[in-house]
Amino acid sequence: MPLRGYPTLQFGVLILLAMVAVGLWGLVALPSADRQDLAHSFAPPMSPGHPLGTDALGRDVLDWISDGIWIAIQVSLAVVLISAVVGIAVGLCAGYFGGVIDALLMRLVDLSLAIPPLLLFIAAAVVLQPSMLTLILLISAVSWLPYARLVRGVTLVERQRGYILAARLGGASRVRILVGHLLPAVSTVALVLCSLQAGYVLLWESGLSFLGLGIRPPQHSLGYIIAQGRSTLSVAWWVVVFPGAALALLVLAANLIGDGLRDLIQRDVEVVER
Amino acid sequence: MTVAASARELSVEVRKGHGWQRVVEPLAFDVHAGEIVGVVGESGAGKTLTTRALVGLLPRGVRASGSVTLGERTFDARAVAREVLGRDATVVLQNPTTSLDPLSRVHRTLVEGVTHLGLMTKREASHHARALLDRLGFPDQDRVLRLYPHELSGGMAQRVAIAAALMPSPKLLVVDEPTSALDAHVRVEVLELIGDLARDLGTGVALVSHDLALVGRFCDRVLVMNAGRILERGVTQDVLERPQHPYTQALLASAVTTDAVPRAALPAMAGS
Amino acid sequence: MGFARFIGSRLLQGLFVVFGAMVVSFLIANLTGNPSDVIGGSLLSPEQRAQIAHQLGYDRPLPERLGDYLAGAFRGDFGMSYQTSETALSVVLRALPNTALLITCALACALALAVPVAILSVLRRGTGVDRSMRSTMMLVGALPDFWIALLLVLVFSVNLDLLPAIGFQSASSLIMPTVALALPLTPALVRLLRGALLDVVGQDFVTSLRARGFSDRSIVTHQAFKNASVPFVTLLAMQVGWLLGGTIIVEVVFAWPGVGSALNNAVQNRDIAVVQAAVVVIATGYVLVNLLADVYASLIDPRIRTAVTT
Repeated sequence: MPLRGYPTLQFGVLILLAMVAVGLWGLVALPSADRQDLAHSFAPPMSPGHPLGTDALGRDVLDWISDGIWIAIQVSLAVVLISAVVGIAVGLCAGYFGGVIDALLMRLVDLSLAIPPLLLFIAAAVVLQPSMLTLILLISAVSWLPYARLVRGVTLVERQRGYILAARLGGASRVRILVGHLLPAVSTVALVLCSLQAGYVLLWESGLSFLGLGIRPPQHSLGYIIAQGRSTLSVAWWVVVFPGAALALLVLAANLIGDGLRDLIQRDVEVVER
Repeated sequence: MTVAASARELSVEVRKGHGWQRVVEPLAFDVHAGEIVGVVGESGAGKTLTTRALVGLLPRGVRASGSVTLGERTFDARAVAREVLGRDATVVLQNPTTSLDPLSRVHRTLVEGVTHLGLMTKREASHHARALLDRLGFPDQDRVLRLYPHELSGGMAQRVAIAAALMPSPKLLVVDEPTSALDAHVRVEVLELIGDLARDLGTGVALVSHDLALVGRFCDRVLVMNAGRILERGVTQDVLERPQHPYTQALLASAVTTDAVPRAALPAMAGS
Repeated sequence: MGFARFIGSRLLQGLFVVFGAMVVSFLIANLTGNPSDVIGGSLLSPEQRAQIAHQLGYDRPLPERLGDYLAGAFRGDFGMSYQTSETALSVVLRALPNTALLITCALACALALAVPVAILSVLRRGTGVDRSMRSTMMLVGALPDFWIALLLVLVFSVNLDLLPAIGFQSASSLIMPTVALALPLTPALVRLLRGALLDVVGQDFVTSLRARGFSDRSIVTHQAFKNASVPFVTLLAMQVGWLLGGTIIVEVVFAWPGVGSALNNAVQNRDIAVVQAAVVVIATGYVLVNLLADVYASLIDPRIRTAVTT
């Protein structure tokens, strides 16, 4: 295996693959997720046909979870992609050109730290109709900032290096320097951030859906399922426990992969420097 | 002449993967009370690790074996640190400004070690600190004691670091060659002070250096090291004027310089 | 003196942040153009909506409204909460002490866990102890706070009937919300402190402390800890908003009478003025916390006291 020697990374990828498998299975079994079966309400885990039990309306918890995992993966992938692209572009420009973009970016970063993202999302929900698309755009509106800050920092360092100067003296255009030389230099650190941030996005999405301000039926976010189970907590613990565990595993996978990638990159960097 | 410190079968290993790689071969040497022994060699020769192993101040992933004698007592090289550091042996690091705790005033830096180990009471330590600073040429000791490291010049910081190392009146002082960030004349001044103090206190000094000119001026004896071995040793004058080992000869040849700086202050050959 | 200038410059920076938060809170309300649509919903006729919009001043041009809003916000006037007919600010400020209490307890709890863990993992760095502690922390850090909250309720209220599930009646009401917040916070604190300690432990002065007879343990718990506390506190204050964002959800789960519950209530009822006031109050709290961190840093580190700027 190419990841030998990086147990965190291995473990993270393993968990993620397992969760994706469950999620994909949910995609296939999607129509059944909402199927009510009042005859089998509150079936405990390990019941025949319902390995993780059912809720008050007899809906299968495992079906729900796989549905929720699929939603979670979609949202976090979309957010990470959007914010990485925007953040890297802005960060490169700010770091390379400096000036007004740079000053503006840094003030925005200051501001984004002062207003907890979850607060902002909740506040925005006062006027926005909750849906998957608004949620993705809303979270992306905040999440591109860390990329921009990180990439700006790396760019500031990289642009002083000899190879950029050489390219400039060689007559390379600005676009060519930015895309051809600086982008590869920042992409590895951005990759680490992508993975680490996916964990945050998962928690934000489920948290908002838990409050009823995120994704709503017919799509079932893990947060929404947990909120549903909350009212019947005293009779059916499994409706809360299993979706939460699935969510925790997803976050764990994202963090493990991020941490592993960080180790991987650091080790490589060291080899280069020696 | 009494022996301040001696090493027997002293070797150093560095962790490599799952095993250990020997970087200093078993060697033996003595440092007498009141003398300065120069340990010379290029970077990577093992001179720093050897002298650090003598007092047990090794970084993580590095271990020493053999035995070390300080005064009357003999220790296993692995256990020497806890017994001698801060009592019978101390170290002056290369860069004085970074080797002082930035959050501590000079007073605390000087006093904390000996009081922590219970060698002196706070009052005794304060008194002793003033005396040492006076001896090191600070006219206004009370003012210096109140300063923070960032308020000291390089030369002042170096002398404070020396004072801190001499607080317990150690039998052995390991001195890394003062950083080249210091002015040449400050380095010379500092080494002269160390020499005087060592003779007064009867402290043996091991001076780690790659600068033969510096060693020639300050050291009574010299050890020439390369690749973890002592290649040549003897009275400084003999070694510098009649080198026996080809490596020493090469080292001396490459150190010949052209500028008109007085001999003692020559920056000499580049090692690191 | 440098200190006053340092704090002054940070105060100015903080003022910008509060100003920014006011603009953001204004933009939130005006995201969809006209808040009166949101308040009225679809129940009202277009004429009625237009009348409400006129009453609230939403028929005027955007820049003019922003100017008015900012002028009011700086005086602490965010308008009335239409639910309670109190001022929006007083709704938030009334809930603030409860939130402050909860956050303080959670931070204290998380620190009490994180400090020994970080110190131990630095002392035993690179060993199995360090690795197993890092894995544990990574696992704990992945647990969603609202899920922890519900699990606590399940065990201690539903099954054991030991602690009250909701509200704030007695000191015991504080236990579960505190744990639910502190647990996911702990790994983040460990990471920050461990990083800061490792930076310090690699410095020359630590070697020279060892040379003067201090043991590793003594150095890490005293001199190195003091040195590391400066970047640690600064970074902690900087990230406190992100780290404690979950307070809102945890408050909702436990029906804790704090800003988070007030905010959730306001959002569910489209009480825009209260939402705006909450955003600005929280940003102001963030600025104050960071100012405190700056004061701490300059008290501990003489270099900051004498530095001219930043």
